[in-house]
Amino acid sequence: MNRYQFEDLISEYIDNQLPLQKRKEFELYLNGNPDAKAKIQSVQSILYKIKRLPKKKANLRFNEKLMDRLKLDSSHNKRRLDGGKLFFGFTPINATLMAGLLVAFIIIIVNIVNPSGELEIMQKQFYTNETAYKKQNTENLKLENVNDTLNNIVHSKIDSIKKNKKDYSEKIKFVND
Amino acid sequence: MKQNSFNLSMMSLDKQTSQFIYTDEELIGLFQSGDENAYIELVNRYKDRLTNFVFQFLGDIEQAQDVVQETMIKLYQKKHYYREIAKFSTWIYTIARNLANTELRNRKRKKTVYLSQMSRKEQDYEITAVQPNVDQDVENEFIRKRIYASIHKLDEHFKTVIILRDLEELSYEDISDIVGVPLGTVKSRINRARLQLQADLQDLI
Repeated sequence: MNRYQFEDLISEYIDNQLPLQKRKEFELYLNGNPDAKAKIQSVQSILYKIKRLPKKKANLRFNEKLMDRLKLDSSHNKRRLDGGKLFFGFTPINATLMAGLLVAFIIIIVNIVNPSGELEIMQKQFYTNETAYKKQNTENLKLENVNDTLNNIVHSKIDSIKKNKKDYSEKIKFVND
Repeated sequence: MKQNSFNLSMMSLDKQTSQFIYTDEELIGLFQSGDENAYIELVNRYKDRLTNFVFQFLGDIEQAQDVVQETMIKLYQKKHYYREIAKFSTWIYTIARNLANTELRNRKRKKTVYLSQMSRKEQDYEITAVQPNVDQDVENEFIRKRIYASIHKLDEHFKTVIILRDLEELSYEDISDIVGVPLGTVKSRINRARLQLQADLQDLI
């Protein structure tokens, strides 16, 4: 055993934690090294002083204070459970967070179910078809309006012609007459 | 949690601790089943030990008392977290140690000067003993101050193991559980801490 090995084992020797073989080696080293023996005695003396330090104790009213705090804590918890407004068993803040998480969860699930963006394509197709349909409708409406206008013009012309048509029947005299 | 059934009448059991013959683990088991008398017994068994332990960390008896109160409240509220795979003592010491560390971190954040941060000469711990021999009293007080100061000068992980081993007299295995490091590391830390103390307090021998 050398000095470093000796120093590493000092506490285990003092605390009687060394196995028998190691203890024998240690004591053999001690017997041959008065300095090592003095070091052991010095550490033991310090430990003795440390162990004799006065022990701090809890206050005499420790239990009383503890009971008061526990009672206070208990009533505070009760008030919190009874008085607080809850949404589906959650406080408002937690309910908001849960709702946000739920929405995020749904979005993630939709993306997992539809990873290639088929939904987006379907949505686009839907919007394209809808626009084309609307465009067609508008054009049809326009044509109908033009037809109506033309019809109106034709009818009004016919009416005006009818009005302006003079009755020459009386003026007509046949040659035979 | 049967907080609503909490009753001050339990205080009357304060002085009847000797009637319990249960181990700590049996007591926490009883408490988990709803026996609040078992809680009082656990408080009585550990309040002084934990106060001394936390005081060594904080160097302030009032704050140490507060931390121990917090520890006992945690024990009351989180009793179901205890599993019998660990010793009750290591569990309660771990809670107290974590709370003491939180208190130390808060102090550092506030950048307030506390006793433990003062120089050796300024440090003043409560010395309650009044002895007829004044010279002896002064000498004892001086020695205590020096020892406390040396312990407080140690690095945090050395200080923890030395308090647990030499002041609280816990086993190496229990310290390993509380600190959460292997047994070999605990042995090595205890040894190095003691050698540092021996070097620092050489003049007292």
